[in-house]
Amino acid sequence: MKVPFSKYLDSIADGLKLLIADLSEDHDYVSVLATDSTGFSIITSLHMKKVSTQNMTSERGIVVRVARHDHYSEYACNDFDPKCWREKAEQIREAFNRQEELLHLCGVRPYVTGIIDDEMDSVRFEAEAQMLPEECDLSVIVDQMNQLCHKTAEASEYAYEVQSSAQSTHISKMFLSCEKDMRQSYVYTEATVVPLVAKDGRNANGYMGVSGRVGPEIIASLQDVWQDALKQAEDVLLAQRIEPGEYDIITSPEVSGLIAHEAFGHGVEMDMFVKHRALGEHYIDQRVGSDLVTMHEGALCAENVSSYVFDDEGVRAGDTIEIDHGILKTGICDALSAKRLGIAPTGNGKRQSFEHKVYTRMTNTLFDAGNDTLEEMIASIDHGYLLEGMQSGMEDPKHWGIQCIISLGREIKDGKLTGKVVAPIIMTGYVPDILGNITMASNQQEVFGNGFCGKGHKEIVKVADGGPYLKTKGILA
Amino acid sequence: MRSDGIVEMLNRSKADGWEMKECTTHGWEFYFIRHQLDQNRTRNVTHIDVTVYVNMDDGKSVGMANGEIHPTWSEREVEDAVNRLCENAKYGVNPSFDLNHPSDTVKCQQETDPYDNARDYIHTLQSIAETDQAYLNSYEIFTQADTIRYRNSNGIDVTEVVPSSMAEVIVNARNDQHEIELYRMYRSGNCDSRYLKHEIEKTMQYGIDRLSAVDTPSGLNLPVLFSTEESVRIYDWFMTQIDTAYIYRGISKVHKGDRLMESDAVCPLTISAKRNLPNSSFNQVIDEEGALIEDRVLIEEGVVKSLIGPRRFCQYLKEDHTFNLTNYEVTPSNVPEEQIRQGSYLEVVEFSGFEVNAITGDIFGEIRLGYLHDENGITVVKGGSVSGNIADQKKDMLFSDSLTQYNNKSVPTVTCLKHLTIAGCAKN
Repeated sequence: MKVPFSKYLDSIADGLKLLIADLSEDHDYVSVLATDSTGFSIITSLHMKKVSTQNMTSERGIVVRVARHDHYSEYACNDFDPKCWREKAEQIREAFNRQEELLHLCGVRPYVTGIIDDEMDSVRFEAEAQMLPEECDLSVIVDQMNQLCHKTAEASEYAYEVQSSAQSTHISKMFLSCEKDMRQSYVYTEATVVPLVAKDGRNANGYMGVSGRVGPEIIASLQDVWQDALKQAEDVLLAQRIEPGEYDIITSPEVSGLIAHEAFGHGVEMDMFVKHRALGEHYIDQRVGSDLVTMHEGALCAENVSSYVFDDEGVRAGDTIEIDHGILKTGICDALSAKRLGIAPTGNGKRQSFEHKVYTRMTNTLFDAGNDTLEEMIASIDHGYLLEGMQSGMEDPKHWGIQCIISLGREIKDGKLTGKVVAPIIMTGYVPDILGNITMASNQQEVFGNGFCGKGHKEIVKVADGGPYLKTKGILA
Repeated sequence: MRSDGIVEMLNRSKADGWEMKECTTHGWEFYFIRHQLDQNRTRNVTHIDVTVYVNMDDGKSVGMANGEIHPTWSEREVEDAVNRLCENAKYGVNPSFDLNHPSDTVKCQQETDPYDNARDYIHTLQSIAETDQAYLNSYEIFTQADTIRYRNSNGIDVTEVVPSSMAEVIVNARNDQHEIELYRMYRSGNCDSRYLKHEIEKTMQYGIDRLSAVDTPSGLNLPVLFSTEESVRIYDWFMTQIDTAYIYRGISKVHKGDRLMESDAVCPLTISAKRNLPNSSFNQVIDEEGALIEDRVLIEEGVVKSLIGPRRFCQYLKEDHTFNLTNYEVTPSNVPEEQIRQGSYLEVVEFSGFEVNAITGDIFGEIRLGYLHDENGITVVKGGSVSGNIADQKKDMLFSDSLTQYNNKSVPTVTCLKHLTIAGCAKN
């Protein structure tokens, strides 16, 4: 079925256009992003259940962006009445005037940007989905998830708690300006299973998920991954500590995705170029990885949780090749940063919600697959580890340091998995070293959309990442 | 639709109980590149969160569901949403518990004005003494006043005005060879100019030091000393262990009266919940479920004295009067900082990300900047990591006789963990 665009947004569109026309009288640029996204979140475990019609991407509100006096201002609210557009325009002017009064008092000068190109564009996109979150039978989903928790717990002598979470959102976004009228609606859904296990006072957990730009029907696919999650939890529980050092490693597709995200995801967000916060700006057309490294970023690269038709600034989604056979080609960019850098935006301007500012953000960040098999990769290693399970990551775009917390490592000796597991693992290093040492890449690529991404320590958005198995070197502890 | 109308609708619905939290935010935001204005923003939003409770026929269980009521919804839409919540509640079935009841509350209307607060932030950041070597790359200022009204079906109706603010500051340092950045996020109620200036200037010195840092040597077996905000993660772990949600679910195994630290611990830990800490953005009379927040000793000399956490898990554990934690304060030890700093140690002041895993107790952090104190004097180091598990640290953990407050948490100025693994990155 078609995912219907919000009737509410359609109903306020004319009022918003009048608001835009009014504000355009004394502003050089005016646009509005209006959102109406509904969904649900469910948590079930052996000990509790929680059902909500809210989740991290459900929202309803508008944000008005204007340019005047060489700088940009925004006003976010969630009480817009299309009949009272004139009053809202006055409220917005009053708010900006008060802020400008303060800025004048403080002697603040604007960062001169120029006016965003407001080229004519119109689209109404309604994606396909089997189910909609607002129409599905939550009792069936809760039952499925509940049974999954109990089945997982019963399969392990160590499990004391199993949690399953799911969220599904029917996104509707409308971007309006003097020249644009863009409307899109789609559904994304994700679900996870997390077994918690304990032995001799030691706790551990596993983690597996499913995700896609699909309806809640995907939640049933947790049936396919709970055993992997449980095995991961038990392996971590019974693991030994690793001897710190540099090893040959093979990263599983989700760990490859974490590296992609942290290394040349954040590292080439070009709002950081504007502030000279990223080393990447000095390395365009230079080698940053081996020939096997090709990396894509964009909402069109895959169909997952952050795959849209246009971004939160009304820019069409793209597919950017950031690294081409080891050579850094370009970054990703929001509209304002693109204007400042004199380049075209890439469709990566995203907000946490209508209440938040736009930053350059990732969507799908993926390493291309290679030609090797996992078996060949394992056979090529004398002593090293196959790394599985992504927990968290952190990058330093100004210095290209990287930190990845990884669930476990499976020891490889003389070209074979020994069965020995080490956990937990912190992998650190210098990004060009990690990418430069990639000597093999498997022939299958996987995409994972259960993660979130922050900018600094805030601005949380949905992203997906992934890649193939990669063979490289890593400093593990 | 006005919130009084929503209350009437909830009272008419099939819900046996309900909670409603209405939060109106007036926020001002200013974004700077160097000291030039990137963007200014205003937020005027209201969020109304409603939870409904429906008693199950077995008399022992309650169904619960929550959702947001949008201010632009019509009366009909609100009614549909409330009915849907009552229906959804049947799927979120948990053991029964009571909602909080009204208590004698003290009015908490804190003073704040986004204009004054933003002005103080801008003036403070403009006044930082920058040099060619260390400067502010960019900063973002967020100030807001939240008017929070909590109501429930037991008759609680409390409104509070809570100021909160945040400054994200990027400090850069450079020399002829390279340039580095340090990231800082400062949160508080209103702008504390003196604290902010002191912290940023300290960070600038860290940046200058990092320019000359060498790779962390391999083979170090030394105590690790924490003297920045990362140390909060260590004390947060203790707070998760006495959280009733963690205990009820089996993640934490402690009970009231249990020891969280060994009886012969070098520095037995005492931590108290505080209704107010100076200028915290969490200073509130009631918590998010309407429970009165008190000053209370939670852990005393390493022994669990009181649990904290959501009301329902407290009741499941037969803990009568508890609340969700907002502010906490660690009682300082009697060990002077100078004593902790005796001998060789690695002081890490900057991590890529430092975490103490609440479930496993695993500790991780990549070293971005550290000071190696040994027989050779003080060496500035970078790279490599520290790792370990909190269970192996508690007995010999040392902390100082002075405190430093990070918004809603007041923790020892210096904390020393003696049994972490330090993985260096220097090539031999």
